[in-house]
Amino acid sequence: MPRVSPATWFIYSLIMTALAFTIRSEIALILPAIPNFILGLILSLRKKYYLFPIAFLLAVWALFLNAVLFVNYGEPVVVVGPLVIRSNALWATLIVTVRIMTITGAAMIFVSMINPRELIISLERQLGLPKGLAFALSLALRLIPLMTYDYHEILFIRRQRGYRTKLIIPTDVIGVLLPLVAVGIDRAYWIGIAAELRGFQLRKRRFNPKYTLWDLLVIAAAIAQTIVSLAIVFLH
Amino acid sequence: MPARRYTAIDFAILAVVAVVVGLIFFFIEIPYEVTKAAAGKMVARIVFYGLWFIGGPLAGSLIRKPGAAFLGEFLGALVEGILPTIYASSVLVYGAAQGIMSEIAYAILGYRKWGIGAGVLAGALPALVVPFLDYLLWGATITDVMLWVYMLGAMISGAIYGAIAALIGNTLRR
Amino acid sequence: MLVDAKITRAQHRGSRFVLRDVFLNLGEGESVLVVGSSGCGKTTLLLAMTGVLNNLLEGEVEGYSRIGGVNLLEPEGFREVARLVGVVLQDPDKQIAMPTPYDEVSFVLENLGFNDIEERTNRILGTFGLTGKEFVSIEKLSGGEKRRLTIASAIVHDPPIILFDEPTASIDPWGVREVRKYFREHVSGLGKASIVVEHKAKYFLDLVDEVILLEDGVIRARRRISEVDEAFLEYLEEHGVDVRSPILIREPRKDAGRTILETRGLTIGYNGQPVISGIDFEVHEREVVVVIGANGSGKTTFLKTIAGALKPVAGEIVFHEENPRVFYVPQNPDYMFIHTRVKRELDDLYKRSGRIFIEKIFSEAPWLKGLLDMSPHRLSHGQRRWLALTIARGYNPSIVLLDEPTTGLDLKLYRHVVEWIRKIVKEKRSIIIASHDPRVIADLADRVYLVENNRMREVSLEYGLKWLEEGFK
Repeated sequence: MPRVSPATWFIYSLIMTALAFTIRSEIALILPAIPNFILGLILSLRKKYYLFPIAFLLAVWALFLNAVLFVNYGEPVVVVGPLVIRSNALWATLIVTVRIMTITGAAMIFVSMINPRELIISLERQLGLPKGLAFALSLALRLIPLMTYDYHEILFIRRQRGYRTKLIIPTDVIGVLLPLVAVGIDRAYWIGIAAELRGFQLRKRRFNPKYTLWDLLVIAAAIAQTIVSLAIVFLH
Repeated sequence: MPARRYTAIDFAILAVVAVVVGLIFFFIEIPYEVTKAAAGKMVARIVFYGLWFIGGPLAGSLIRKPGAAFLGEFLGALVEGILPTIYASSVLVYGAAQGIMSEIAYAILGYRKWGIGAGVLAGALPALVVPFLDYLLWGATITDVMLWVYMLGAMISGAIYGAIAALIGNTLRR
Repeated sequence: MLVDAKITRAQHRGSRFVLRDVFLNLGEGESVLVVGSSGCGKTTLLLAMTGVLNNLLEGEVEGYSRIGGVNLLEPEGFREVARLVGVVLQDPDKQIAMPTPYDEVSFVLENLGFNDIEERTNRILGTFGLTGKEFVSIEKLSGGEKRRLTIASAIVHDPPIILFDEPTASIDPWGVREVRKYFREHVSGLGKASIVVEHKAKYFLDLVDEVILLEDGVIRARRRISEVDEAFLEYLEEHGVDVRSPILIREPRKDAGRTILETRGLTIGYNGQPVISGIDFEVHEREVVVVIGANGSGKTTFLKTIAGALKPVAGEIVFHEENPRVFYVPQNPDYMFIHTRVKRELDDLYKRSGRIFIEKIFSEAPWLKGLLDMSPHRLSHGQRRWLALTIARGYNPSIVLLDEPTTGLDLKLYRHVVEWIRKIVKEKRSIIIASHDPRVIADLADRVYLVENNRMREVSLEYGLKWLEEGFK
């Protein structure tokens, strides 16, 4: 088992997310935003999750576009042909980026530090996740590759049958979800029966928390960031 | 009153719904961002947003027990959370909020109706809270008027996909 | 008596099918083989006996079913079911719930509150050749390994009886050989009782003590294995049970048409990783070519490459016709249906192939009229196979690619599928079938290609049939 339990990283990333949602002063968010984002970026690049920075940049671009469309007022800052970008649009983009950095940063740390199977076990042991939900999550892990295969098979059949493979209008969604869920439900039915025949009813909750010093340090780091951010909010 | 106790079959169906929702999140995430970047948030929202809500009506109409709608949507978010995705923990917040709203829809109907109409309600209600969560995050780049327009867009889209989810659930329920 | 079951009536919720008056008595270490065609009630019997049908699926069961003195039909008895039975179901992908072999095996031990979970789990994984793969994701295991894992997790907690529901349905002949080996060594060999539900009786006749024939929900016949003679086998065969090896009685075809498809030095695989290399393959007009090989040898990859779903790694695929139309039918027909009602699927075919085709379909399958408002996914297994093949025909392809079209089919349904495939050939289409079912060679093949050690070569029908038939022994 890793030194910091996956459930602890889970809680850490939830606390960071809560900060991003609730702290209204953007200045106060800079403190969690920058270190979390940099740490997250390093960890996720080491794990070769290149989609993260790309998705992050896309999100910031979308924000910027949005800001230019809806809150473009104040002093002109940049003039590109007929397009005038004003101070408030830039400011709005910047402050929302701080929120996204906090969330993505925590998310990148989280997914780089855990593996899904250990996370589920850890959620059960450390946080008392009920057995049914733990079962559903474990099974979901098992089903992801199977259902990804189903999905590609269904898309190929659609192509063969001359239907769109990009899901644009609702009937496209029905045409893909219907076989996907049909095959999935059939599997679930028998997997559920097999689990009941192997004593699912008798299963006990595996709640048995054990926190190490490392766990406490990570939680302490989250709490420290919360306190500092709140302090800045009140001082401001 | 239907049986309330969950069996392993119900949990297994929840897992299927969670993966369907997780896969949709996963496959739609990039198209959504691209559409949003190219055509603006409103268009992206109307086309895709309701898809984010289908875990509730899909699980509700397949399992038909109290709690199913919430769990379907919330587990879907958890599945996306453990896949490596950019939104990881924030989807949990959204997933929980959306799941609760879908669950409220079935609760209002006394857990007696699980058809297309109930699906429409379970798909539309999450739109009441999601824009406010959005406001907390993106507030600075949105005007108040736009927020209400977003909400309307999300609600229409949610109602459509809620109906689709319930149609699929009713067609395939054993 | 270890098993004392007297089920006077059993019925699924909302189903008209009824299982009646099935009595079963098994002593310690005894095994019984329950045979019969699809829909005879074999699976209903297993679900009823274990208490699943009435306790879990809201079905109705009358009578009692005692295993080790515990009546599993009572809710309190049903709670004990895991201690008393081990189950192996048809398809490992519809049974394995956990993400790794270790978790799958320890699941039942945790539920039953064992103390030596780690030791037991590792020991049984070793016995079943899964050491070193304890924490590998299930999808990385081969079909045979998954099958072994399901048997391992059925016996790890040492129950007195093991139930098998068509354990050979999803596996190739070599997998069947393994199931037989583990059955001999770890079930009957260790003095455990067993109930095996199968329509391929030939795989288990030499391993059991008694044979029961179910038909339309009642027991038609039962025999101690010592009393099973040639006449009884013939009787079973008449009732749709697969008891013999297929025999090749086909005459070689005389009128092979021109070549319509060939591959030259084709290498296929995923993401540039070759699975089969250097394939030289050809298909003529109106010809049925069967590609045989073990599970996971690359047969499906080959079909998908021909169909254009995958890009060749190297080499080329050449079509000798102007508008090559290829249609791939997957093993699971459920992937094919994209509409909520049968009628919509037929509308779709009407648009593509016109009225004459639709009228022909209705004359071939008059039962279709009563099912137009059903969801295609709710049809019976045979009907779904039929509809999938019919959709393929509706797209008017010159070459139809069929992936394992007969896997898990009982004799009766198998014969129907053979008839449907022959209809496709009569419509002047060519067919490529990927299969490990020896019956397909005996009844359909004009030519056979064999995949072995990442190579594909043409072999005679006799050789191919023998190769598959010997596989399970």
